[in-house]
Amino acid sequence: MGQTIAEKILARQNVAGTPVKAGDLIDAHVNGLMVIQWPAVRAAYKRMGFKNGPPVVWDREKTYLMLEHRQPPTDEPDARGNLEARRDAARLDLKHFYDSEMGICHQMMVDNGHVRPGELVVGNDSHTISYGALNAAATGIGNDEVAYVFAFGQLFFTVPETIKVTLRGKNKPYPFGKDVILYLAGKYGDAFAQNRALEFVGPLARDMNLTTRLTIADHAVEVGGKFGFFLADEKTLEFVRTRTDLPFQAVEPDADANYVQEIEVDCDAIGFQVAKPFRFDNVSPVGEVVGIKIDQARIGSCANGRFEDIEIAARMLKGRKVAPGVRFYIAPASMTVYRQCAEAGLVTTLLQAGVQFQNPGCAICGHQIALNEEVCITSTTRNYHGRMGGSTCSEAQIYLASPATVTAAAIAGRIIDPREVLNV
Amino acid sequence: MSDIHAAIRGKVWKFGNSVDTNQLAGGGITVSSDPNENLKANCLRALRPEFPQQVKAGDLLVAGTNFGCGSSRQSAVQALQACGIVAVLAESVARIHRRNSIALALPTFVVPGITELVADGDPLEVDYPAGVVRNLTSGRELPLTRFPRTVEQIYELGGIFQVIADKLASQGIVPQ
Ligand code: SF4
Repeated sequence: MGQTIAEKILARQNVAGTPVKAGDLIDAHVNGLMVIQWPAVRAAYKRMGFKNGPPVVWDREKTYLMLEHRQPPTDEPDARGNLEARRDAARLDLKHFYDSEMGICHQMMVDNGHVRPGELVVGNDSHTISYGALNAAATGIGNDEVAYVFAFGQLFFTVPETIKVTLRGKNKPYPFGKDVILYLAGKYGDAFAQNRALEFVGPLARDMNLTTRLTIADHAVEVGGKFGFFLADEKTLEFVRTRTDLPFQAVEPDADANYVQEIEVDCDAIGFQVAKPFRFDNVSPVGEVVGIKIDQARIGSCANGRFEDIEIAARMLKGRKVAPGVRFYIAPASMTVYRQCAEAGLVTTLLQAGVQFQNPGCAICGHQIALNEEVCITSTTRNYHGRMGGSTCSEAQIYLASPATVTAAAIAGRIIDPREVLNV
Repeated sequence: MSDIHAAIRGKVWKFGNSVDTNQLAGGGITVSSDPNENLKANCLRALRPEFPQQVKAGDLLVAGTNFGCGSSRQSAVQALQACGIVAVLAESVARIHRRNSIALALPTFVVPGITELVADGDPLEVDYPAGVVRNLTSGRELPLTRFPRTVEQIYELGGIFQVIADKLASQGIVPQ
């Protein structure tokens, strides 16, 4: 019996060195550890009695510590947490410590070539899974589990079953990655891939650019996924090779690999999709929600804060204005993306149109408030009760959509079919 | 901390499907300088405003499918612990939340059919050693699946932090 991508990577990383199949519980060596929320990881060591932080690191070159969520710090506890991280990084001689750089950890990981095809990478954020776009077995874990990996470079995993998703279509400019994954969530539910790996294959998956693949892989966790793989093709290899010299070995599934479910999607037929409050799978075609007045529009996040996501907003807004009464926030996913946008002149266009262009980072995705009286349409990741402000803002109406649908709504002041302003 | 090798009895708080980690630990009101008090004050408040005030130490939580979906918030488990919840039983549990529940030793069981077995407020017995969960009002039972030994050991030690400490100690690395 052939093997899936997940089975192959976990077999390669299996500490016991034995072959594996779906359902096996194994200890695996990781290839990379992405760490944010340092104070929480440090707290696990404090509980063990290590008052001055972790005594050891498994591999100083494969641990990526980032202060991005708390950069720059806005209160003293955060500033102190950053100071401790700085001291710990120096003491443990971490090679990759991102101190004073704003951005989203996941975009910084891919921007800087820290993720390579065929690797097993973990991090203490659920969207670590997005690295699957680069053919990595990447997944989110908790802070105390990060404390474990930090010391030993291993963790226990159940080898997951895999769902194969074949994407077909002509690669027209739309639908976008967001529409594809929202469609899947709407049709199969927000847990259809629970504990499972997804493999996105097929002619359209091949035609997609990396930005689109990253959006889909990022959202694999919104349908319960453990890994969300794309195959590594020329585009992947070029992307990775321009960012790192380190060797890697991409992984393909065997032709006779065993899938627990196979799904085919004709992407030409799905059109623009919107997730209504308060769940990722509460999805309808944009046509069913047109007319809803909006107060806020947002583009950003690890799902949709890359150059192509912002470029489409700029293209749609050129010569137009954000509707009166609408606040339109755009935040690039990283400093690298910010620089790309600035060099391409997008920032100027967006500022002229009345967009609030922000610093890179996660704030746009959660901490910036949407009040109970407000409606927000956003390309960020989640629309749960209180996602933008906590339990006191739990009735704020958050709609998720692709950057094109978000921008169209920002121009009209209400949700519209983006084809009204998209010149495609 | 609950001992998985003893039976647990408690009153059930019942929730629906896809309770996400924003509901468990999404912030909101600040009531104290103690982070645990703030976690408790906001826990599940948006879904059931009375929950944070009325939940008692020793209560149990029952939920539908995909419990704990969303962000990888370890604080979601800490919030339930701050509320005094001693075990969670759900039709299914989102992957990261399940792992965090193990790492922080909050007994969390996937029990297909559990939402049919109990109503909100029912007294429930979770007897892991016997491998059953029992509604003490109706007497009806469902089986509990055994955890793998690796997972049981983490529960026995009270959390993965102790596994780390022991493993480091075996390498001669101990706190100064
Ligand atoms: S952008 Fe949003 S979903 Fe992505 S890592 Fe940041 S907070 Fe999480």
